[in-house]
Amino acid sequence: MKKRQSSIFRNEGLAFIAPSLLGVAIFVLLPFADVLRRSFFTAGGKFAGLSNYAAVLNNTAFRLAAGNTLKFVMLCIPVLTALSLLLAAAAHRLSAEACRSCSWVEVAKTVLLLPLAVPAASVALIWKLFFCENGFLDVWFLQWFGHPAACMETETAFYVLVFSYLWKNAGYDMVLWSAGLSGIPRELYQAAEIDGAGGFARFRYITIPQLLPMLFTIFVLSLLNSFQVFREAYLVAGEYPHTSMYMLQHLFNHWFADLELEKLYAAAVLTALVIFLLILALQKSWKAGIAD
Amino acid sequence: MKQDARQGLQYQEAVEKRYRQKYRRKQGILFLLCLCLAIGVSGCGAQPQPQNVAMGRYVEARLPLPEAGRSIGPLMRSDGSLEVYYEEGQPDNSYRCYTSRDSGQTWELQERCFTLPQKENLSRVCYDTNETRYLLAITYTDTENTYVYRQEADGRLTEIPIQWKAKEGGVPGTESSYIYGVAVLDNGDFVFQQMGMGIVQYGSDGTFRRTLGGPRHADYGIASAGNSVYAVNEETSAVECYDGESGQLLRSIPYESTLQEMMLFCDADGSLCMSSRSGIFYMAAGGELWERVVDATITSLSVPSLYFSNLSMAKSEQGDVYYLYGSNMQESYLYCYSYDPDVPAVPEEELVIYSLRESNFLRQVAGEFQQQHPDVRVTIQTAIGGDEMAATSSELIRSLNAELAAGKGPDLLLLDGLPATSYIEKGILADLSDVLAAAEKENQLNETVVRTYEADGEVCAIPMKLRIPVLLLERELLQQEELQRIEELGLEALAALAQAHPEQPLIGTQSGQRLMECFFPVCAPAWITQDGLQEEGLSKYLYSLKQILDASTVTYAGAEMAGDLRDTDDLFHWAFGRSLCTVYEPQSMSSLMSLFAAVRQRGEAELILLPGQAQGVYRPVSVMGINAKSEHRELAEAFIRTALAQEAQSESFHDGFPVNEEALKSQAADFDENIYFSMGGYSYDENESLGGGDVTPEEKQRFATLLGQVQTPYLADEQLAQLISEQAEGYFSGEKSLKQAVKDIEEATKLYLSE
Repeated sequence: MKKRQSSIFRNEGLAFIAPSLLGVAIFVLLPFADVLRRSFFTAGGKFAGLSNYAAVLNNTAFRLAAGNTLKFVMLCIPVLTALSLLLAAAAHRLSAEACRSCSWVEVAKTVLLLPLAVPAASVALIWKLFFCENGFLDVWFLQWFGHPAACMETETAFYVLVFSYLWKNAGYDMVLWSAGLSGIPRELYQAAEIDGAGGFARFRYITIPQLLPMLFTIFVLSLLNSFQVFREAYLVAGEYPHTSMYMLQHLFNHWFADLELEKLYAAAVLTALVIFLLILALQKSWKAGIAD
Repeated sequence: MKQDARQGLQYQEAVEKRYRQKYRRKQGILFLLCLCLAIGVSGCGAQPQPQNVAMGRYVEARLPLPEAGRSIGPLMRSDGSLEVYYEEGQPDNSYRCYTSRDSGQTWELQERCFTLPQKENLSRVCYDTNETRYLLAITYTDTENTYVYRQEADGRLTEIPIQWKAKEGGVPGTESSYIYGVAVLDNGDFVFQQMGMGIVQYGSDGTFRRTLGGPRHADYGIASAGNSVYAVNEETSAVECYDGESGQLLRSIPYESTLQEMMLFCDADGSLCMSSRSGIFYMAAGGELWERVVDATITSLSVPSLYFSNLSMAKSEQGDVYYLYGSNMQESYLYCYSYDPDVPAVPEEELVIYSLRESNFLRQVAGEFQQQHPDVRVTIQTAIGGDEMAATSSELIRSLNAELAAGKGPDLLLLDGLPATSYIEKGILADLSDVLAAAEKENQLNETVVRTYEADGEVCAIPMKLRIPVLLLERELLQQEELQRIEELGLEALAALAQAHPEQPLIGTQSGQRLMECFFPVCAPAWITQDGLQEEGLSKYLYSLKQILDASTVTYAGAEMAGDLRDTDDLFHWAFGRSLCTVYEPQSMSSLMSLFAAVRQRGEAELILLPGQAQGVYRPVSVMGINAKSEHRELAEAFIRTALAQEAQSESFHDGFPVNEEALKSQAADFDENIYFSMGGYSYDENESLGGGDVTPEEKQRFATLLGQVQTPYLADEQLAQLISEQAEGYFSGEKSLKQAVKDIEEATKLYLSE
């Protein structure tokens, strides 16, 4: 009886994910397989071997865009993860203990989430007011230092983009961390406290290990969200921004507009491969962390 | 013990029962999910094709008019006959009239019709219920005025002294504004549609009675039946019916149509019809809803070079027949729309044409193609200008590319603003060599221009028009030493000229930005190659511009103006002797008027192709290409042949000069002595003005000769031009050296070019 039940459950599980799997297969896997196939052909349909990949890897614009994107991801995701964790831990502690009646903690949480609700076009407008030529920042710099800040025409443009990404996503990640934090049994902290563990030790030895399963989810979501920052970059600085904030999406857009599809296929495959490897490595290290 | 076992069994049964229920529920949910997915996926399939084709629609026919040239009319009489009037010409300003009693098939010349006083031109004709003829005549002398005459039984004309309602600030009874429409009511009153004043009613003796409705900026026709007057109110989007006895508004009938060239007609039964650039609409007497009987997009109503007037309707055994009078600058045509039950309600074949922006030339060709292929529907998809106003052109291009990459998309593309070179390289566009060869046999075409995109023996895109930037300068200046080798040295020679004459700027509104705007198209083709920017050419370009800029301290730059206004301003500076030369890029023969007015003002002047670093630069425009995956390849090819033919090329829409030599000749030979224009200075001196009549055929031919000398195309790359201009600004202002400017430009464009 037991054996029959488990078989039913197993088939049932497969059957349940089948519609979703079918959808993913039809709308994601099959098109991607087609992209993979086309990446080895020329625009005229002739087999090109790895020449498209060679062309992409030798392309200055691709190297710049890929470098910028990688730099952005490498800088933003750790900073965002750490920042949102700190915010979540502080909010959790304040709302749980010291300031149970303080409604401002809840207000602060809402305020941090607000950027998610603001449409990208409105965000871009605000950034333009601040950072673009003759914006507030330029005016203040002129008053104080005698020259404009010229944020969008210098390397600073990249950090404007980083700031934009952190501002938009900190609240969201904080909520995810908060969910993880509320799942940690209070008894663990109480026991540690009795054993004489300080605040940092509790954070180091209880909070972080307990949140490790959450880290993977947050990391992957942040990684995927980091690709959405292009909207703001595009709306603020146009199709050809300063080279420091020229991302892969800019290049892909231009290639698509010029119908450079074979380059686009190869670049898409390379990007997907890098993301896949990154997630795979993360998963491996996460599993290792869990095992430890 | 037994009881415990029974209870245990019951418990187990209950658990199993609950499990089975849960399992069945899950199965149900699973089934629903699968069903939803199946429906979703099947929704992506092709649309089922209708089996039965609806038949019957109004078809257009162009009926012969009795004479060539422009005419007045046709006018439909109460007996259904048609009348058309032609000017006899001088010396006595008389008019002849033709009548057709067989719906425009044949025409019969009446005896000498009437003679208007000298300098008066016939504008409109109408009849009252007693079949008395009334004439409206206009003078175009010092003041534009309208006179109304009644033709007596013996043929004499009696003027009716209309006490014209005064324009604001004017003296009543002295001067009319332009009359768009006229009707005579059963009670003998006249109703006029006066420009800026609306519908104004006068008694049969010419005394002012009342204004029907408020003052309007209306230029639409009016109609009458009995004592009722029908007029369009654009503010309420309705056709309003007024009682000519009391002046009361009787009813208001909403319409959904463009207002462009809207006309009304009301027959004796009270049935109403309306025409506009949207089509012809009908409403039965006492009805409330308009029925669109003719779709403008598949008739000549969509041809932009035709101006339509005089809508009329006649009853026949086969149904109502509609007549419209269309005319262009040279000819008048009579169009008849009658119901044909044997043609499909909607043309079975469709040719889809994509254009990023609205193009009157494309609409003109579509109209002509439609006449040649009445069984084909031409659909023009204009990306910018309709509901897609919110989208940027690059977003629209990406959306088009998605279709093209999928092997779908329009049959034909107007490539202006689209990445034509990429499309050619990627094999998106079909080879048009055969089409071009056939068109070249039928027409004399500007070979350089039509073969702009020729590569590897294939021609995948054909420009239909071209524009050229020209330089105007005094003939004496051209003899000077500095310009002796202008053809060879180009921009360098102009820089030498500027240095030799520091008392005046080379062009009026001389600034770094303006100079780049003028000279980039004629220089860039020399140093922008497939391998990128050539440093030497770019350096020479920047250096020469800087020499021109620094040569004179006199400049009229400063006013922030758009391109056309700046061109005009420069023309004024040159015409009134404040600059050495001027650069101008005419869009059509009519824009040569200002150019030659400036030439006449300045005196002995020469007109040459703008010298730069490349020789004989032209800008190809209205470029067409066929989607290689088009299922209507033959139709698309026929469309291109129509576009290259003289008929379509002869019409001018201020969008360039034709590649068809015959069409260019006919445009050059055309001369309208009634044209007079005048234009004032924009920013420097408001009292200066240039004016005159139409450009003479000799002057036009002088310009047309330059069109035949073109050699090098400038395939506009605005993005690159902007990137170079931004980096060069510092060099012109003295902030950076030439070397630094070139380095900055190379750095700034490297990314763009490497993409």
